[in-house]
Amino acid sequence: MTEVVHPTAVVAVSVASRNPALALLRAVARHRLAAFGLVIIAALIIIAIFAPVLAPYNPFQQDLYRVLAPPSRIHLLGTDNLGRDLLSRLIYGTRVSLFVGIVSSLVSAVIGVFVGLVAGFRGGMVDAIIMRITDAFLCFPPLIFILAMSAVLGPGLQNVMLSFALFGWTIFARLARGQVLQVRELPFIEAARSVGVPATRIMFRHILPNIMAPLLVAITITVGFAILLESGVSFLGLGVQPPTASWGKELRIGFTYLEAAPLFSIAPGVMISLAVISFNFVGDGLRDALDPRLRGANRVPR
Amino acid sequence: MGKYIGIRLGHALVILAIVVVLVFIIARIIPGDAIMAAMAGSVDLHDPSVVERVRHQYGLDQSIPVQFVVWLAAFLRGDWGTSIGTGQKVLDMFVQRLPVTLELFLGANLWAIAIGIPAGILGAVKRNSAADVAVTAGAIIGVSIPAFWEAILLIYLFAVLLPIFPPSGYVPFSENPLLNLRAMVLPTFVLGTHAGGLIARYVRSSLLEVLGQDYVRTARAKGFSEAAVVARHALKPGMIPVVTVFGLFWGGLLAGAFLVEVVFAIPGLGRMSVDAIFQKDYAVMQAMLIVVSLNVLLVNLLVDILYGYLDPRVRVRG
Amino acid sequence: MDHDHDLDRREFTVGFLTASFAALALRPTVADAATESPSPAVLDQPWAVWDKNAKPVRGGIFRLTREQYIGKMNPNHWPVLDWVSMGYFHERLMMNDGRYNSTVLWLAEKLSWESPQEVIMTLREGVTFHDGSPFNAKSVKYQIDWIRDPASKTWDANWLAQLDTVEVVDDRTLRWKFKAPWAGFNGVMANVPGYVMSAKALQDDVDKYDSQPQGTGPYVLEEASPGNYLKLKRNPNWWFAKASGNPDMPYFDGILVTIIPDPAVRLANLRAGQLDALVLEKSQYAVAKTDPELNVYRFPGNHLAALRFNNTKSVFQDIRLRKAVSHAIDRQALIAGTQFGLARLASCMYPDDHWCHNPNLKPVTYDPDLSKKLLSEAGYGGGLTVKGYFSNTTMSQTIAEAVKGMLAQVGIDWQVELLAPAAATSRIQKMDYDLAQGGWIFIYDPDLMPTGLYYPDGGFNFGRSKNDAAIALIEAGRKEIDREKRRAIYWQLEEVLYNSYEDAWLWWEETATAFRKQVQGWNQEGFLKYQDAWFWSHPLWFKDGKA
Repeated sequence: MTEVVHPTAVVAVSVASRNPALALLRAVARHRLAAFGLVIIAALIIIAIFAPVLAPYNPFQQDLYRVLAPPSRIHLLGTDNLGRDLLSRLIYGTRVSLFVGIVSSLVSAVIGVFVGLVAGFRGGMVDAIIMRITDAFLCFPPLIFILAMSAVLGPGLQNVMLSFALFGWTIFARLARGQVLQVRELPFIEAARSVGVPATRIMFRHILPNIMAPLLVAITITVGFAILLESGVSFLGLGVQPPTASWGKELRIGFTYLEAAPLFSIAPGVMISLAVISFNFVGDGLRDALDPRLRGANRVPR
Repeated sequence: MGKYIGIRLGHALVILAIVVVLVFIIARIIPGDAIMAAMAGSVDLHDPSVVERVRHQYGLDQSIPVQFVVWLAAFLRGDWGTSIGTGQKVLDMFVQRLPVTLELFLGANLWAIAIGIPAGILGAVKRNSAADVAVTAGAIIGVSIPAFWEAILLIYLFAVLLPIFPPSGYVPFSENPLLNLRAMVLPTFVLGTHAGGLIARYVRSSLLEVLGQDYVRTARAKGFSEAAVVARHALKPGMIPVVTVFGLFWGGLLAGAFLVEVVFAIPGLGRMSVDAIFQKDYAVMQAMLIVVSLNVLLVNLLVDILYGYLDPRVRVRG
Repeated sequence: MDHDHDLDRREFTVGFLTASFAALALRPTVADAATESPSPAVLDQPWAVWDKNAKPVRGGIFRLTREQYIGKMNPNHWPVLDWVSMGYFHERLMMNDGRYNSTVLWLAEKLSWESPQEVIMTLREGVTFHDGSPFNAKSVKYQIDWIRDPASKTWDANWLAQLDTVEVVDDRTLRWKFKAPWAGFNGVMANVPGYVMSAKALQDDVDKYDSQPQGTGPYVLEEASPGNYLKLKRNPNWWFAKASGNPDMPYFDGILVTIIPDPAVRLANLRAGQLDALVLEKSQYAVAKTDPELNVYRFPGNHLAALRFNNTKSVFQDIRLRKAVSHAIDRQALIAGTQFGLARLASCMYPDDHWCHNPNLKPVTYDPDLSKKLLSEAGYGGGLTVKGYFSNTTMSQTIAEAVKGMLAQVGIDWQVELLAPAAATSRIQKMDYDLAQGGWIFIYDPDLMPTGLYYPDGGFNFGRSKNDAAIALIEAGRKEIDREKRRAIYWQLEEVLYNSYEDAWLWWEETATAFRKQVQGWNQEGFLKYQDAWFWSHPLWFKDGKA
């Protein structure tokens, strides 16, 4: 496969951008979409952290005499099928989604980068084997892989995150490896090796910083992807278990009561979409900013 | 070209072997005796002799490598096991449901091309304008919105509020072509918007690259109108990378089909798989994982070869 | 049948109704009368009344839906998840009347009790199975012996435990001999073992029967797509059509049952005209009632919703803990919130329209303070953790969560898992739960439910309940032929189970069904009065014969 299967991961040959933070700010200033995304993400993070303060009700508090109530002054978004305040449940759901998204993405990144560095640096047979294994994992569409793993491991958030990490590392492995391949032939790396600097030192001191920028992009976009996947798995019934609130779970229950309480089906979807779109906007903007010459996805050399 | 194909094929075979082992681990090793639990309704698991017998019947009392070989041999023979949920032969179930999902796929691809290519061209040609931003934003939104939510919204809009399309179900084409097409509009549209978003971005970015090339600038300098430049010089080479995007979103379409089929109650492979996952119907799950991954592998292999054929540079780079 | 397996009784009722409606509008024309005259044995029965003004028309495919696919089509094999469709192609020897008494003769034309331990049954003439083989005494005997044979792996075999032998007297007559007086015999004939199956089909290929049933019912299975739909076509040789003098029965050309798991999609389909009848989700009742295109009916459902305790192998051996759970549940709130008011608060086992209902028992009160007190008395003042399971359908999930919330209020952490039917069965068998979904669907003969739930080898007990007083009463109730005395025994039984908090009874069901205006023939009064018998003998039809 010549293509990076992950739709938006990119290799930015960016010896140029030595300061990703500055580049980020430039990106924000220039790209309105990314700015919008950043604002939303910041809002979501605040909501997640301050959920107990922001939520008007306890998300588990049932009121069986007021189920599926329409929006009103006491329940801004109405109530769900057990009389729980929908707004509060969505607020707490932010915690679940962000937690799953960020943790899954980071764990995948850590594993993947390590594997990719090893593969790229070692080369030869080790590289070939690792790449084939990566390709094998990439043959499974992510959702299907996670569904199967969740079915096998059992429902629950931890299993969803575990399943995500089990295939998510492939994205970062390819990324890291590609970077290593590009960079390892550079003169100063050759020089370091010939002088006898140990491989690990070279990896961490010289190569890793160079891939930080595209890594950041990939992590950002992967968070969005993980949130989307978690909501899909919860929608199908395998992720979060009741009574925990997750956007995907709420959406599925809302679907049952589509006619009686349409807002119940619309609001959770809005949250999911906003979150994913925001991470994608930011990731997109980051990529544009970090290497303005290249727009869109690049191909990873084999 | 031959060497190129040869290398690709070799890789594919190795990958296939790893995939098969992975599937076996996922669907057999990890669940272990859960397979037994799934059969509780039909046999009395209280009785140890019954448990013994069933374990022996399913080969669960053998060592793992032996189980693997037995399973693989049976699979290649066409014996994909029997479904716990429906009692049918798994292979039969696949054959029965395949045309349905194929139709869904075909429709989705048509939508994706119809939406994605014009949008991508628009974005590239009117670069950095409001239209371009709209296209980029639209494409990202397209891939970000959960497919199942989009499905629910569309059902609400077009089947509940304005009864234009049937809210679910599937009627075989042979039985009632018109109803079949009407019922497929919403599901294929949902799938198509996702793939369409990806196509739009690819078309845009590859077209931009081409438009930046020297020979295009020359054409402009010669005085051709922008439209002519695009149409005559940029479009064809610009489309080449689009071929590869099919490999990219094929897996995504497969996954999306799962969700769409569940929401729209379409009796395809996706829904069968989701049902199997819930009923812990491991025979079906195993077969599904193999079929899906094989599918993705094949599509990517074909895309690779096609791309190698279209763009000689790739062949050289290897 | 146990609630665990989540049979949708509402769908049962609709299916009942639709199939029986086929017969309703038949009025013999002169030409028909010339070939077949109605059988007095059928027309004698009280429910055999047809509206003289109704003019049923043949034609159309009746489109229905279910949440789950039927599963096995041999009623004696597990799991069967759709008993309504089962009733389209299988019929029973006896049926139940409006008070759920098994007194209605159907495929059995006559029953005479020679003694409390012996019955002579005369079968109807002129009935054939869908595969052409004749319905006769030999076929019934083969079927009954097959059910009792352990090799057949039937789940209802022990409902025939009282039976000693069944002998063929002649082509139409059977002699049933019991080991002891068996008052529940009629009830069993009106229930699952009484679904007559073609002996020829069972002999030829018993495994195939699970997907290709051969019954005597008004519809024949034409095509089954597992998990997807069932297609049935009209049986032109339906015996009841001739016997009742209504040869046009059943009126529909066929029935199409589609599986749609999502309630919202089901309703959307009905309103879009893609379905003709629908058993409504209770949350949809209010909306559907206001729809001018629909006729909506509401009636009692013959099912009990309850929670079951593991009384022998868990903390719930302690009656104080069972009491704590039962009093912690606010049943009124559950009915209001999860059933949208469409349920009857249960005081005892048998619903208030059942002939064995005990009017002296009152529903368990909602008393969380008492629960907390009992918990600390039993040593769980700091909290109690129990595990269990519930079905994973949308309605069951809601109930489970609501109950979980209520138990949490008194300090009980109920770790409930949501399972598909097969997984749930496994759990029941292994007694791997403390508190789980319980109850019973299709409560007819009073012996069947308590046997299944509380008798040592009952179909859904597996040893989790061993109440000796109850067991003794169950045995007594089986033998008591005198109806009044029998009822008194079941009143006692309910009292015993009530006092021991054997299970936590929640409510008796109600069902709401919507028909599109095209669908004709439903008579709410008739159904409420005669239930089962009326349902299957009064088929529905389309206005002008078109959907």
